[in-house]
Amino acid sequence: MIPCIEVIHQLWDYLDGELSPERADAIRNHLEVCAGCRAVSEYEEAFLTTVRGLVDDPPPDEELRHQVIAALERHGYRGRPE
Amino acid sequence: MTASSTDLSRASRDAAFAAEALPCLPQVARFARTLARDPVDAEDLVQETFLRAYDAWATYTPGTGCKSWLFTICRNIYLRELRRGARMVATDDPEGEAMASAGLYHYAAERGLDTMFDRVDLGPAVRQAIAALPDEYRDVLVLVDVQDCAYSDAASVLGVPLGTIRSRLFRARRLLQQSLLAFAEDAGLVARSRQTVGGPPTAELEGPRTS
Repeated sequence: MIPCIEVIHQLWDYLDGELSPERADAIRNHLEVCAGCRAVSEYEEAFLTTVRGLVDDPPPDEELRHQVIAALERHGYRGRPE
Repeated sequence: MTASSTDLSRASRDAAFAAEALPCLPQVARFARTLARDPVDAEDLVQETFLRAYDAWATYTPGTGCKSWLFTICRNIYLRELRRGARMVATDDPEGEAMASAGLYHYAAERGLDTMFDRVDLGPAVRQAIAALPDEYRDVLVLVDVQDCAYSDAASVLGVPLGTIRSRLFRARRLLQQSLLAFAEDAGLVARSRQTVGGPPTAELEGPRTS
């Protein structure tokens, strides 16, 4: 079992999916049996979910898209998006 | 090259550009808004990004991550226009930042705030806190946490080593968490304690041990 300190050091990398499969397994196994680290992990995960929820920003309106394409066409672009 | 082959080449480029670059417009627009903040400046930045990308399309290898490539162009234009140069923040202790964040969990738990992300709509507070972050931290947090870039893609976009991405990202998250805890306390979710938010967070975490 890897020590708690190593789990905390690599918790963000783990939650971001940036670790090797072997290392991720080691941390996952630790979290399954260590309530203290699991509580930290769940807190950090809830934080990330909140931040990542911001991706639901409204998309740019069609006007911006038309502006970009019009500028491209003045620049020689002749393609048409689907 | 004959006129017809030139036309063919242009048609091919335009088709590829329409298929790969233009679908990234929503993400680029969102990224530009986080950089420029002012909506009109952001729209100009988006337009300039796509014009530069169109001119430089020959340097892009299809299928290699058009979104990151466009982000790089967008950021370079933004930086150039601001004439900010290559200002760097020296942070090289990602493990220390991770420890500090864990310390913030303990701070939150002691005040009953460890479930605040599930209990309260923190969206507006998060947006405000992100906007208040120093540029170096805000940029990497937006790329990884909002735009869903891998660390390596963010490193490519920002032109910094992978270790710098980790350091800045973890620092950004800690700063954000500190802001949100302060917001929660100010909002009366708990009584404010005399301890400064983010005070000595690592002191609350037990040292190395095996379990």
